[in-house]
Amino acid sequence: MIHFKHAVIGYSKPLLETGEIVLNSGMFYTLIGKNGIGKTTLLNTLLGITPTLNGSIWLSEHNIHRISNQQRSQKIAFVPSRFEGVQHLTTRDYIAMGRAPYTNVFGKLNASDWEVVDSVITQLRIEALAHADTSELSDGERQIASIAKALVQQTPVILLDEPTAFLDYSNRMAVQKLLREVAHHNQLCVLQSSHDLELCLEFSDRLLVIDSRARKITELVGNETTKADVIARAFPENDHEELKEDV
Amino acid sequence: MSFRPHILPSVLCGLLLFLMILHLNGGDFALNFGKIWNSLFHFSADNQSDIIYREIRIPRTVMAILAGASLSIAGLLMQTLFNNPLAGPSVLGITSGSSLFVAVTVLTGISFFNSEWGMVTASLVGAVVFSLVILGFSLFVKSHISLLLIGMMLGSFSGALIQVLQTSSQASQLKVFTLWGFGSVQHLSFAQIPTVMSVFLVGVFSLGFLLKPLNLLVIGEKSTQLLGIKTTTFRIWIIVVTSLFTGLVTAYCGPISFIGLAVPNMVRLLYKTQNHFKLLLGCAFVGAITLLFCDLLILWIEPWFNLPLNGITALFGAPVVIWIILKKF
Repeated sequence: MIHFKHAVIGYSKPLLETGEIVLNSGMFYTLIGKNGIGKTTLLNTLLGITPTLNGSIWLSEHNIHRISNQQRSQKIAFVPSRFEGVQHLTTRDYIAMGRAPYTNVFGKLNASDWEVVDSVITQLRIEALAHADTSELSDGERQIASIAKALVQQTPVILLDEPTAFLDYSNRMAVQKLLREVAHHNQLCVLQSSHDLELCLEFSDRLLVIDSRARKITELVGNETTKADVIARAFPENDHEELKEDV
Repeated sequence: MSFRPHILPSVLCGLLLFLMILHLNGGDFALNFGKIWNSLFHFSADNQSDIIYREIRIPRTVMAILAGASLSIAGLLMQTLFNNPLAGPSVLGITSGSSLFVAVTVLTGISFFNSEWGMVTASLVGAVVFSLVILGFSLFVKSHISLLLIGMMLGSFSGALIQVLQTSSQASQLKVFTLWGFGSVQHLSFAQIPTVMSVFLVGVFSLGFLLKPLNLLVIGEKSTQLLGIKTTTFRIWIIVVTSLFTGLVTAYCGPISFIGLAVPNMVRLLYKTQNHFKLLLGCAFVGAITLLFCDLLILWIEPWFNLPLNGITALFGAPVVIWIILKKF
């Protein structure tokens, strides 16, 4: 599905090198690495916002940076760490925004678009929230709504930037469960970045661990890896750069 | 609020029609439709009432409706673009841009002030230039409050330049500019109605193509871009259309404050939606109603003293703004 061909990630100076990695559909991946190592930059590169410094990233047979915004929006959906909610915007209308890549210049949704929206609402069992104001949802509910919006976009790939960062424990677990279910059931390639080591080890199929010294990605199998192993690679002790700010 | 959304459009239509007729009649409750009809379709240059309606009242009503609608639409566009309920053409300095450019044409006497298009062009160019400056700042300034302060500084800056121009200009030019600065919907003539109307309609027509990005922009620019929208292009278009509406009104009516800021907030409260088709329509109606009402107040107190339009809109707008600040910040 996603094929990293020795892509060098970074803004002006390189942050990390991906090596040769293939991410498949039907799998839930988690990107783990310390602050400032380039997790967000890697996601932005996948989203086409930041160019690669060297090498390339392919999505099926397309180079991610050679397709238009519109084409990319039909292939990759994104969920930010936090959606703050908008007053007078209902959850259903928010989720329906995920259809934008498919609507015409006036943005009007047709009956089949609404069918997609309502079927996702049913799949995620959030019918009760559909007509609620997004500014009145809890952080956990808003995050589920954002995932629903990504699903409505009907892309083969969903990227999430620390989707559990602002959630309490039960909501974090609910979101992780949901992402795994979605990846397996809808046969999607789901990639999140996260600092929740325990939950990632439990729910992710694969971990993409960014080695803090070599600045390279190692792919590990979720349930075959120990927390100590991940920490040794991504967050080694006596690492003096640890306090560097996230970029 | 006991308003039901589906009866709202009819209530607003009715109110607009009522105020429009009242305004056409010079604020007099003793309505006379026959005179309005005659002035339009059986116009006779010898009949005094025909002349009053045709040259004074009809243009004034048309201007009040178009100005109210235009400024409110411009305010909504700015508020959505900058994701800021306190944004508006006057707060962000766009109106000041128009004023400055009009001042340059009027006070220096360089231009063809007598030509209608000269002033309209100056006003539009000023609006576009200052909008682009604000847009440029918005790329670097992320805080809502900072952007508003920059807008106000742009206002002070152009205010200072205008004062410099005023000190070195002739008395007659000064008078023209000062009267213009009070804000008024009385400067339009019957012959100018088609011009104003066509610029307004161009603006309204182009809004159709901005609906999709406007509806998405409420969840943020990055999210909008990732839904396949060319946000950089649409930012410019939204700014251009806003400048068109603001520049048009400022050219003919002078700088009118608060309408563009207050009305969109009232409309969101009434409609309880983020659907910009409804919001834009609501802004057009509520904006027209508000300005008609403000101008009716002027008509009613005229026998005692002359109040400038800007005074009335501030009297009504300032409390609304304070209320928004108390509620949202």
